[in-house]
Amino acid sequence: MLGDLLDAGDVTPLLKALVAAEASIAAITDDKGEILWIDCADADIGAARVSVADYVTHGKTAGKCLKSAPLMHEGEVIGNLFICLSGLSGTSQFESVVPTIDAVSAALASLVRANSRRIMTTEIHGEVVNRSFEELMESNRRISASEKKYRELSETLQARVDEKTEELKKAFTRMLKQEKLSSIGRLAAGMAHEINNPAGFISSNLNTFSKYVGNLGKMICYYRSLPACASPDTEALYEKLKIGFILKDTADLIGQSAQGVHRIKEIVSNLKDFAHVDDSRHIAVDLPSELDKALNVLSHRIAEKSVNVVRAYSDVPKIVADPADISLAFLNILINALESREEGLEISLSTGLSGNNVVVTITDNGCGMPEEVSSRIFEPFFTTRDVGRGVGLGLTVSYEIISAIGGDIEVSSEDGRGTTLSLSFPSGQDFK
Amino acid sequence: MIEYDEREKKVVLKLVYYGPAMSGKTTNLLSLHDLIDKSGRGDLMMLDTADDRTIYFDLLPFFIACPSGLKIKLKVYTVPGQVKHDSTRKAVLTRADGVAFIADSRISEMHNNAESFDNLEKNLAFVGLDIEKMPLAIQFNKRDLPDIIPEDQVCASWGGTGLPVIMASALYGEGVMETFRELSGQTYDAIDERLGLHAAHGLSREEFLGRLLRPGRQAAGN
Repeated sequence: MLGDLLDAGDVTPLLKALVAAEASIAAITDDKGEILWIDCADADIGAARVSVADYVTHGKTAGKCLKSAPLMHEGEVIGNLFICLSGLSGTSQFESVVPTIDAVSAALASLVRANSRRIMTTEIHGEVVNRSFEELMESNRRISASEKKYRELSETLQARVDEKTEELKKAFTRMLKQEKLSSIGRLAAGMAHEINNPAGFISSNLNTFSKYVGNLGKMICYYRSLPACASPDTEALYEKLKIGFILKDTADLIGQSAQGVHRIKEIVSNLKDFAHVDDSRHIAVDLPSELDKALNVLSHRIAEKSVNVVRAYSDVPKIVADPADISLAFLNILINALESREEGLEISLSTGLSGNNVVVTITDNGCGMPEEVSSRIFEPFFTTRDVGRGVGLGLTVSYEIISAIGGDIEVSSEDGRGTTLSLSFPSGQDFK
Repeated sequence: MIEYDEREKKVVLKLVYYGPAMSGKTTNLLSLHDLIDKSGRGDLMMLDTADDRTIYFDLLPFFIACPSGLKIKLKVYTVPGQVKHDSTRKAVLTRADGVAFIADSRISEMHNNAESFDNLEKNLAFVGLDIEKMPLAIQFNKRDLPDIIPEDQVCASWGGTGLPVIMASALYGEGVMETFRELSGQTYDAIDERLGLHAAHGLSREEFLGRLLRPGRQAAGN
């Protein structure tokens, strides 16, 4: 302990000063009696050490006169200063060196005090600095962590904005679709009601009218056959008014009108079927018959362009969906197929199974499309048509409808050769 | 946190005088230094480097040797009360064995007292010490000044804590020994429990306090 509080550089000159002031040996021991520093007048340090050790152990040294003074620190004896006067044996000789001893003791005490103060200051200072350093490191760690978080945030920000934009687009599309569906539904229901009533009385009146006209014809024929009525004038008028032709043609006209009314009824019924005005949502849906309904709605355009429709339906289980949605999905795809070619268009429809899915493929031999178009056809508002001819929502709506029930659409297209869309629907059954 | 070196047969105890700035912590130590005989104590060391106030505390060391040979070194520290010296306070408070909280009795200082006590609780927790188990004495200093909180009011507000409260006027040496005696007594109880001071080392509580608080010749003469 004393060894830590004093160092040789400070102590040695003091011991030398004592030796110079008539001491034959001057030494400092620690609290356990170990000699830390020693100096002596003659060259024999070894003998001097023995003398001091002797004194420490026995309190005296034969033939030598030694004195010791305790070194105090914090109220505790931490060592001793030893002085041996050469060749002297009486205490009186010590009197002369007492002031020197006191001065050296005081100097040592003040060295101890200064050093312990320095050590303590350094310790506390070190602790304070270390702690401040730790606190700084800690706050640095916190700042680094939050900086990392922000950096990650900024890196993912674009992706998250894109994701949100995509969601918004989809939501908007859904909204549009629902709006469209419900207006189609309302329109169809209204039209069906409005058209069915007049069509009904036209059809029934035509029936009655046909009977009336038949009766009138019979009556005319009867009058013509009566001898009283037979005259050249009568025959001339009959010929002039083309009554014979009229009687024959009237039946044709009425028959054609009845057929027309029947067609009107059929169209209304198709429209009702297609919009599923009467159906509740999510029921078992037969995909082939939904395909046919969509074709029925488009029948006049199919006929107009002399499209060759090839059906290759195999037996598939019904899927659970909203039939109005499914019809709309098919309709949008078929409209695109119809637009793909002006003459010689062939559309092939097939149904089948793939794993647990029901698959519907719709293939046309139309213009096809390049990769950069086919990769974007399900994007909202993406269209290749002229402005005003399409909003670019048709296939988006189809895709939304099918993905909403867990299905998927795959496109394969070759520019100039045609396009195939494969629609897969989860059947809800395990066929394996 | 008694620092016990079994090989050296030495115990180092650390008592800390805590409190707001200018409440009289150093005055307490100066008074103790004057009142206690120098045979059992060292000199008061005041570390107040004028240019670097972050290192600012006082130390009054005591030394007692037990009949068994066990050496007890008791170091009494003050901490800087200024708010900005919190790092030094934490450093001094580390491994403390007892705390005397020196409060300023003036009504105007009540807020500072409360803030400093909160700081003590916080820093004890920070250095991993439990205030509930820590020997702790409260001193209300500066009783000689006007505009102070009446004693009954102090007792009313601190009575519930069960902590010993001592009225003092450190400048005149009043209450200083009592505070030190209270804190040292509690500290003795803590080490006696740990090391068996009485049973194993032959040092009774009375002897411990008697040797620690031996009045100086000047004081004894009065």
